[in-house]
Amino acid sequence: MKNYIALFLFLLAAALSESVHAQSNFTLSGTIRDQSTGQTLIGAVLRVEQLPATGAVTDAGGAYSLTLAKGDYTLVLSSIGYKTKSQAINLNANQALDFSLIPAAAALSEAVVHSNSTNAKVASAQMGLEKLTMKEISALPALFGEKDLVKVIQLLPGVKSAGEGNSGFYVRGGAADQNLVLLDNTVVYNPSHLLGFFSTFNTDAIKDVSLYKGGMPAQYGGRLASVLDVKMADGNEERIHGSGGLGLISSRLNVEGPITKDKGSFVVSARRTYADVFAKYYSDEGVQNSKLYFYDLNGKASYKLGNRDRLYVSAYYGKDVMAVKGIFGIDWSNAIGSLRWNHQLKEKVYSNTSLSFSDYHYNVHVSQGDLDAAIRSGIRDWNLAQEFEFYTNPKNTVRVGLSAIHHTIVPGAFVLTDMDNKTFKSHSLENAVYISNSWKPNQKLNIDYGIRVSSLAVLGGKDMYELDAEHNIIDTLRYGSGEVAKTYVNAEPRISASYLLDANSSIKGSYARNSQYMHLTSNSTSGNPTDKWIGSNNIIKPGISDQVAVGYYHTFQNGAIEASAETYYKWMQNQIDYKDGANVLSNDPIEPQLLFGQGRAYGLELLLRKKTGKLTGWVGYTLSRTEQKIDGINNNNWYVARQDKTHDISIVGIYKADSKWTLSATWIYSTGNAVSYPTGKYNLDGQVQFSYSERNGYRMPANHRLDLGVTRQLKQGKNFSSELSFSLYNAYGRENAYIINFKEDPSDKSRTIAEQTSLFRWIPSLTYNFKF
Amino acid sequence: MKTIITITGLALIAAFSSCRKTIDIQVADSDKKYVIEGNITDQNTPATVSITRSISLNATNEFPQVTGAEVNIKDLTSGTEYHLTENEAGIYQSAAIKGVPGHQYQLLVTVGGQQFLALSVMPAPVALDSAYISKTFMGTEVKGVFQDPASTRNYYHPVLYRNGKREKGVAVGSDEAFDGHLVTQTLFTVEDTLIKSGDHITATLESVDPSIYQYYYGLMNASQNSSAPANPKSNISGGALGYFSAHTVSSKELFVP
Repeated sequence: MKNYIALFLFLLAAALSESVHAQSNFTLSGTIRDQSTGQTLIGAVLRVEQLPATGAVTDAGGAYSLTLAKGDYTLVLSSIGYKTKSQAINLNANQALDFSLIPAAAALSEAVVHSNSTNAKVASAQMGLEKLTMKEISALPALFGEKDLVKVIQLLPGVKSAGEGNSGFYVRGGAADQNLVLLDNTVVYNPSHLLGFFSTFNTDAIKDVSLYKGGMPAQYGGRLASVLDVKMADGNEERIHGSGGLGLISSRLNVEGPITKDKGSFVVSARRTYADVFAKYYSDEGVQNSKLYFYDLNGKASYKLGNRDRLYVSAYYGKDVMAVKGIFGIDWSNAIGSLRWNHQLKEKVYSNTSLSFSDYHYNVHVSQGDLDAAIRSGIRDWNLAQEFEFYTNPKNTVRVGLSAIHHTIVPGAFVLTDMDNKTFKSHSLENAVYISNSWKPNQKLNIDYGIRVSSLAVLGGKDMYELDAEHNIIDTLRYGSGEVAKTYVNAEPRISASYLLDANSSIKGSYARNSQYMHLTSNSTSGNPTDKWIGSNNIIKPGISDQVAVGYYHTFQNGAIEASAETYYKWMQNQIDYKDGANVLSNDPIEPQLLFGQGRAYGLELLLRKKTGKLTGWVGYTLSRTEQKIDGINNNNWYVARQDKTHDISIVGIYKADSKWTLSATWIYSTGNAVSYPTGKYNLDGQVQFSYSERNGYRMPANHRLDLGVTRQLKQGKNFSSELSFSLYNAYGRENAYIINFKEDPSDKSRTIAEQTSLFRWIPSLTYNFKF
Repeated sequence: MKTIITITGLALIAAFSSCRKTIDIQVADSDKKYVIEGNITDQNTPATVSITRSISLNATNEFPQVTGAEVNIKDLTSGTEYHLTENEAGIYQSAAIKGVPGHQYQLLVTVGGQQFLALSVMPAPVALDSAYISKTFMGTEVKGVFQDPASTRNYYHPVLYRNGKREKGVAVGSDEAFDGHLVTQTLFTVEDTLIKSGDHITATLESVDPSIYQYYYGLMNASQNSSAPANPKSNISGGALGYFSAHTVSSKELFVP
């Protein structure tokens, strides 16, 4: 740890000393936007024709900064999905210059677009990063026609689905709760709807998606496996626009427009399912009596307060309701809000200040005659963050920041309607400071390095426990509500480097340590809304992961096709598992029901991706292994984790036949999950019970599936356009195993059979989308 | 609870599509373990311990009785010892005992050179005031009305006998959601197709100790649909399956209308 800091300070000193020599240089700064909507573009590339190795990439706010010696240059601007633009400049003073690019779709009939920015993946130091455009996501077939960015992410190498039709995902052997899911920089604690079949992200409201599978930059922290960074669309600054869709199970509406022209914009999106409307017509009384729906609301506004300041407000609210009339009901919701102030301090210095809020909670109601009981559980965060970006000189970009999160957790307490409501809230403070530098020592080498120091202060107020070796409570510890009961500090070094072998190929390597203080405890197969978030405390130690990765990248045909191979090895400490038969819906302390151990994951990921032309898409393959060693399970030996899938293949294709027809297809194959099957049976209380000998000793059958999609453009006008989109999920009707149950053979009651349940076969759906 | 969530969710999915089929799965043969079921009650009946063995999954359901075991129960609170004799193959019984709430009982089984030891404390009795049958779309529900004692954690294990035969299914609960209340609880839900008018029902509410609650909770929830199914945690040490329960019993007789 001391060595890391020493090395880091040395590199930082080197970065800053270089700036001393840069004297007659001037800085060009500004934003790059979409010409038709005025939305800022993330990751747009600005290159200098005269200096092939010099350039800048726009940040999350669409801002760039580039320092050059005095002189005449030609700037080349590009971004995926936009026409490349060139502009000559004469640089003799610090200058603010904004650009806008024309969307390629509008220019589709003229030429097939080539984008230089596709080379970015080869050149940048960042590895383990996957980006998706909303165009790709919208073009792909979807279950029930619900376009879902998480389901598309599951098609990338290194990312696995938590189950058939499930929006939970596992990255490089990590658990579902080890993904940091961010919506406009704010954590989404339960990014799923309807028992995990859909994600909380309404495609209409989203602008950009990035997934970091490893080598996370230092500004991200708090989860072990990945960062899913989702940015909401900003809204059109030019004029009022609307879009929407009518689908099989849900409908959507999106309205955006300027607040003041060229100064501010807003966007509001809504989505609601109506499966419950049909349920009334279903013959089964159980279905008739049940309520089942979800909705989402997204809103965002931004406003320019002069040339150097911009304010952003983002909000999301999504709710699920599931109930059986008069017996039982459960609802859960995510509420998110953030206020961000983007300020340019000087030509080369940007500041981002944000205050955000995230709340996830669920309520369970149970009617027991005249007595009602409820279980309430949730987590609420307040987060204050400050970040500075210094475009020190062409060779260094330094980022410094801090983040403070106050967590409040209500860990699922039973409450009687006529009882004094005892609360069992726990509080903690999760803080982090980080500093990082993107360093380009020469034309071939790019190095991003940084360090994040995170800490958790567990605050008193809730009882804590001391356990013996058998996990029985032997002592109860009480602390005052302002008192710090326990503190953890972790230094997390991050480094990622690339070396260009030639103009089209590079090798990269990275190392990152991550720590995680908030954990989701779950003992069900699929994600359940009643899974609980718990914070680290004296017994539950923070999870720590160390990941090393190396990779090779190559582009062909002027960047149209990119190929990559990455391998990784990850060590995980302080992993949590439940004891057998643990009861989560209880007020009793959860600590005695938990088991702890370690994990390791390693694998190889291959990706061949075509980004431009009539046919786009990718072929991905992952070979991997994920193992756990938990005290008290399988005699403390290493065993394969449930999310371990040896082989995982995905093929994704989008074919734009002409201006009217777009065809798409995805095919997946993966090894089945590891499962525990019974190995024996016995008679207890006059009935047959199964006995188990080993955790995850068996495999489910392999999964494979083909989905097809067709989109037909109906009208394409300046004021109104519409399209019809058809999806066929599981086109060849493969019966993929969802659950395997062992039960009495109906034809011979003295024998046992295995019965497989599969869910979705040949699910067609039709969606009508419109824009005005 | 989890079951109801699953039912609600799956009902919708089933409305769209779902399909089941039998598949062939080969599993390794497991060890043939001893299975011990030990019960002592407050009802002045013999304490009964049955011992069988588990079999492999592919075998037909013939569970071998274990004969020739040495079985003793001791009331650790009073010091009284009871020897159990093998009245039927694999079934060991004492003379009639009226177990005392609050007393701790110890079971010791010696068989095939192995020893199995278990402890259980008989909880305070809770009387079932009345019981009735109610038909809902979930099936035929047998409801029980009882007064839960305040400010102690109580654990209940309902058992249903239909025409003298123990009904299949496992139910267990705690008073966390109704501590200290006079409650009406669904004790057991039976599929409509299995029950008919005129059936004689004995609804039994057993008050069990926490380890037995844990055991049945594990049997219900750590079974197949959980992410990591496993054998429930037994209160018998020595590696046997099963349980030893000192419990109180209160029952009501009913006829299906």
